[in-house]
Amino acid sequence: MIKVSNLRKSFDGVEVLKGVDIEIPTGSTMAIIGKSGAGKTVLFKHLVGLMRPDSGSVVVDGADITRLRAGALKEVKRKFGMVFQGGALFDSLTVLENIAFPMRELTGLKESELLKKAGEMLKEVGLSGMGNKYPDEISGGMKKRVALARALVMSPEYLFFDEPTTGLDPIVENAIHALMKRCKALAPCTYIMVSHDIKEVLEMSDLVAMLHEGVIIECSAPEEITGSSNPVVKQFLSGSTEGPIQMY
Amino acid sequence: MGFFTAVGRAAILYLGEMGRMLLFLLQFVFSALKPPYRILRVIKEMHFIGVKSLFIIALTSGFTGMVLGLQGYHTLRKFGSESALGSLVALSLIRELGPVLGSLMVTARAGSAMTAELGIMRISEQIDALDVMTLDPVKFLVAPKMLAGVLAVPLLVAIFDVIGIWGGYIVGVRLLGVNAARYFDGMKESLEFRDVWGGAVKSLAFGLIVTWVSCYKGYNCGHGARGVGDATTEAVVLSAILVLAWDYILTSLLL
Ligand SMILES: Nc1ncnc2c1ncn2[C@@H]1O[C@H](COP(=O)(O)OP(=O)(O)OP(=O)(O)O)[C@@H](O)[C@H]1O
Ligand SMILES: [Mg+2]
Repeated sequence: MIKVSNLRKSFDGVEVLKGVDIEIPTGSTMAIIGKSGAGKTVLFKHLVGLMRPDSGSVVVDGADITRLRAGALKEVKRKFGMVFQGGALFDSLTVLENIAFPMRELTGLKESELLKKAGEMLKEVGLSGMGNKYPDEISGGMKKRVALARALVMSPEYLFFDEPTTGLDPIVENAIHALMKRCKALAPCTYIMVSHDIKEVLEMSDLVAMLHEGVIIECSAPEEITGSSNPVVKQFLSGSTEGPIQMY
Repeated sequence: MGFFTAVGRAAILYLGEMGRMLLFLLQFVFSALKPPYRILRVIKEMHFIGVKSLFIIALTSGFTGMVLGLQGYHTLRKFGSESALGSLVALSLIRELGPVLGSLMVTARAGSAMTAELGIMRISEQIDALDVMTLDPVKFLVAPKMLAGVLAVPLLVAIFDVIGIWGGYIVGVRLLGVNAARYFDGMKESLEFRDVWGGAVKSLAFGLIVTWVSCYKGYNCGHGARGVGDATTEAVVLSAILVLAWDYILTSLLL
């Protein structure tokens, strides 16, 4: 379980996270929604220990990762996998090498085995035959899928997806959803995802949290959140330009 | 008041940067000492820093030696001591020019590339991706580069010295007619182990300085393409300044 308490972070005097409280139960799929620039990516980076908060705590299975020493932090981080919003693929490695990379560096798998596994994963994300291309030779949606494959292949306990299907066509999107569900069924784990795609959020998650103005204003099951009485949540889910969320 | 505030602020800024650079160096030392040792990555980086710099080192050292032969000959002739050309060329190269010019060439060729590589990895979140995978980026990316720098630069400098001496020989002996035996005998007589040792110490130190500064600047680069560009410029300029400044300090310590 991940428990975030009163997490605060500001950049150059602007407070982005103003006391985030959230509980992510083990085994759940939690979706974090919120308008662009709300701080979802920043929150993610705190959850995986890439950023240190100004105050507050992130407790992962009983250990507060904001206070751990390097060695202990590494132990906790082994449970994490992350799909970055921009992919963050290693651009001097081929697509296949990218997927094989974490297995090669972190597991004792034999070269032939891990290449085979990487190849299978590549096929799963619909990119078989693209293995020898470099990240700058493939499209944005393909990069996203490679990043997804690179994270899934290690079957971590906690998987963070920063917009897993943004930029994918509807068919691929559905295939990715099926893959995510299949991976979860194979090896039980916790998914935490950021998404702007309301349909995806409702379909994939069993908890939805909305981040607005630096705090989580609502966190509930998808059925409940669609019936929320909070005007901010209502407006966000309907996508209306009229309401408490102002564009400008 | 404004003046003192500005000076104070600049001083704090520079001190802070120096402190961070020192911490980065310590981080490198500790992560390099901790297993697993990634020998293969060190070898790859040595190939990049060393083997791929060979051509440019050969070229610059050849010309440096030739110019030394030319200038040295005409200067020495005024005192009627052309026979000292060999020791002049060898001593200048081994004690000063080899380490300094060699590491400046490595800065230009390999240091700047390291900064750009790390900088781009930083801004495209590849370093963060390594971090989430529990691969310490300093250990994984930086340590092999710095180790390779410390190992490869002295070797490159040795090659620089040899080719430079040969360049001086071409001009001094073949073109200008200094006696060949004299050229090499003078060298043997005047060259002491201390000189060679001093040159080796310098090139080790410069190898560390160049890769340290280049990696630090790339690893901590600012935003976007501009950030990477600025980091590269800063790395080259700072490496060059530090190499020349430390050359003076080391020379005064070694003499
Ligand atoms: N490294 C940083 N330095 C300074 N400010 C930052 C940094 N990272 C994020 N911010 C600021 O934090 C705020 C939240 O950014 P974040 O990337 O978390 O938004 P987001 O919710 O992920 O948006 P999107 O849905 O568009 O991805 C933004 O105003 C951004 O300017
Ligand atoms: Mg984001």
